[in-house]
Amino acid sequence: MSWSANELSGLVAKAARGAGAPPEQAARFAHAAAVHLSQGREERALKSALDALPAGPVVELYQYFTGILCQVDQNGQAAGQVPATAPEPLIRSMAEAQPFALVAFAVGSDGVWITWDMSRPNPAPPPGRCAISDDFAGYLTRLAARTFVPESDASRRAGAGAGLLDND
Amino acid sequence: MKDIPCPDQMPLRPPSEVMRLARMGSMFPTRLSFLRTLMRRLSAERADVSTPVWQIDAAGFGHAVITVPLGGHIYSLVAVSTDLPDDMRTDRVIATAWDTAYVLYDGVPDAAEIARICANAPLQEAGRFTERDLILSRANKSVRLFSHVTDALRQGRQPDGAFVRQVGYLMRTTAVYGNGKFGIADRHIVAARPGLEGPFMAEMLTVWLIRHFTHALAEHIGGAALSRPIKRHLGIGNATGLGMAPFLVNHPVLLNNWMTVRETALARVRAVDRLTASQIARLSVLAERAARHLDAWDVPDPVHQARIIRLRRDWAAACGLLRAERLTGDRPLDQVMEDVADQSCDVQELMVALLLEPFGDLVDGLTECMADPFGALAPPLCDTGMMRARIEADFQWALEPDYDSPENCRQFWYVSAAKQEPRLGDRFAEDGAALESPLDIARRIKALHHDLPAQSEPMAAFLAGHPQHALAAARVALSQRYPYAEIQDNLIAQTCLPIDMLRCKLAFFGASRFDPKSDLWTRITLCQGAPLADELDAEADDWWLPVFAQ
Repeated sequence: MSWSANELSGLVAKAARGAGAPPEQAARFAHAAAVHLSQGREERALKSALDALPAGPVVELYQYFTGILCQVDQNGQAAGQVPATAPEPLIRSMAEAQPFALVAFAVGSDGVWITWDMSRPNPAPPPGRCAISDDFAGYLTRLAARTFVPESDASRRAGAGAGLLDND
Repeated sequence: MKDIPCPDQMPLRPPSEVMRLARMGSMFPTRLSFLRTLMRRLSAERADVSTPVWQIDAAGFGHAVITVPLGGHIYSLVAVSTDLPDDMRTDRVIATAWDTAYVLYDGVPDAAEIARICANAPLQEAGRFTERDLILSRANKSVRLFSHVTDALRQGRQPDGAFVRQVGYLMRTTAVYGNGKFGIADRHIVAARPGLEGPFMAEMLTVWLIRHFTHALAEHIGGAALSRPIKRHLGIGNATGLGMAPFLVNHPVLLNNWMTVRETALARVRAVDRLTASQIARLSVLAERAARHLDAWDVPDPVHQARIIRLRRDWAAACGLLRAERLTGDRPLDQVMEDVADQSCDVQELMVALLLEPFGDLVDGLTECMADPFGALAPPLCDTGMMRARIEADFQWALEPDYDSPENCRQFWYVSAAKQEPRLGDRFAEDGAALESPLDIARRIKALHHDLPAQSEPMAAFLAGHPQHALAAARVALSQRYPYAEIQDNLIAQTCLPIDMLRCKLAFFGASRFDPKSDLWTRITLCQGAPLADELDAEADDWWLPVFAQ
């Protein structure tokens, strides 16, 4: 099944929250997931990141990136190293999903060197449509469902204000 | 390249004044509203609306395709009309069937594509869609007015004008989905296309075409044409609930851009040195029109009706500020805004909307800045000392409430397992607060401030130990570049009225006749007074706060 990037990232954001990620990290990871999948990269890296929550790459990469984005030189470039604690394709997707232009991504033996140009918005086209396996879609859906409040009569009647019939 | 001088402007009203719920809940549509922008574009292109497919039976059921060219592309509304039992008609997200369902299609659909859409559109959230489907929507009849209109036409007469004025629409949409929902196209597919660059333009185009369809459907069933004034006054209704409120919180850059444009437009108008006689006359005409619009605006809810009655009275007084002799001095519109500063937010915001209206040359170009093509281009605040200073300088509104006090945290936002309907609960009376949606921005910022260390340290190190504060830290960092990004109120307070957020967003859409049904949802009318498909000409833009001209 073909997914739009936005519906996929919306589902991943809920899934990440359902798995224990704080909301900001979940949102960043979700955007990166759409980039990741629309580039044809493997679902496995995303699933292992979700499996590792509430710790692991979803939270750690956010912290590393925050640190790098603060190391800005006089040319407006932020550069720094991310240790190789996450799969390289996932680090790449997270780097490409930043709003700033990614100008260097160099894989070394002890990690990845990343450079963003903070003076330029990310010129890459937004992520396109993605195809994901039924297994992964089911996995995401189950995690996302953990963020939903179970239905009750009181909630159904009062939670959204409107009545259950509207014949005017 | 031509150098275009930037118009003079007065200082913008500060976020601390503008971004309060009470004021946001008093907003009116302006010429910057998305529907107005769309109609100007369609008019500039003299867009030619046609109906290549009309497979509707005598009872009004079947499907139709309505096409419109815009910006070098052709878009088609595929409309599907079905027989809905009364006991299934609800405005709620949890509905499973509707009177009509729609897809805005990219191009002109062939028979196979029409068949696909006819099979899926009535299913709405349970259907599956493709990249050619740009927008998905549905609408239910105002049963009383729809029946009255078709009965009247069958009997060879026009419908009762008072009834048309009272309801204002034949159908109301209960959702207009865009940006990838259920497999439809992501917004970026059309975001660079001429005419659809602005926010919600594809949604607005859909709504305007749905209105066109509802007119055609009523005329088809009734077997006669509606009069032009009645048709013009029949907009398209909309029932809006809680789902719209989180949007404003979850899209802070977009909210900032909308508000910045609106405030910049006001600042430009306030800086106008002298008014021409025609501008003065125009303001007078518009003030009178606004008064007549208010006179015709009645709602069943007693609290909001009382507010409208108060506004009618106060507006009559405020109109005195627009008398010709008061508008002949220097910067007269700045003076008008100064003079209404002690009036209610309703009066002030109505005046803002009015003052922008005659100055299209000065403000319309700003609408090109209302989209968010880049995302949040705000660098992080890099150490906890900077974070503390920023919070204490700009977020006192978030630090002031005691969030342990029940009245300051009574409400919690959540998503129900039932069709993922957004809902609001009472933390002390209902289950589910553990699954609260993260809309409690103010509380989070105060919690972040509380946990900041006495000795400054890098934010990255701080977040390693406090990952739960990342959202608040990001929102504080945003404020450096996007000063109007944050609603400066406690959104979980007992006193928070979601209806205020809905009205703000709907006013940006161009909605009028707000008809709040509770603090949680409202009905509105879109496109009322908007040009019909055969009225797209140079005069088509003059429909701010329409009054019924029967």
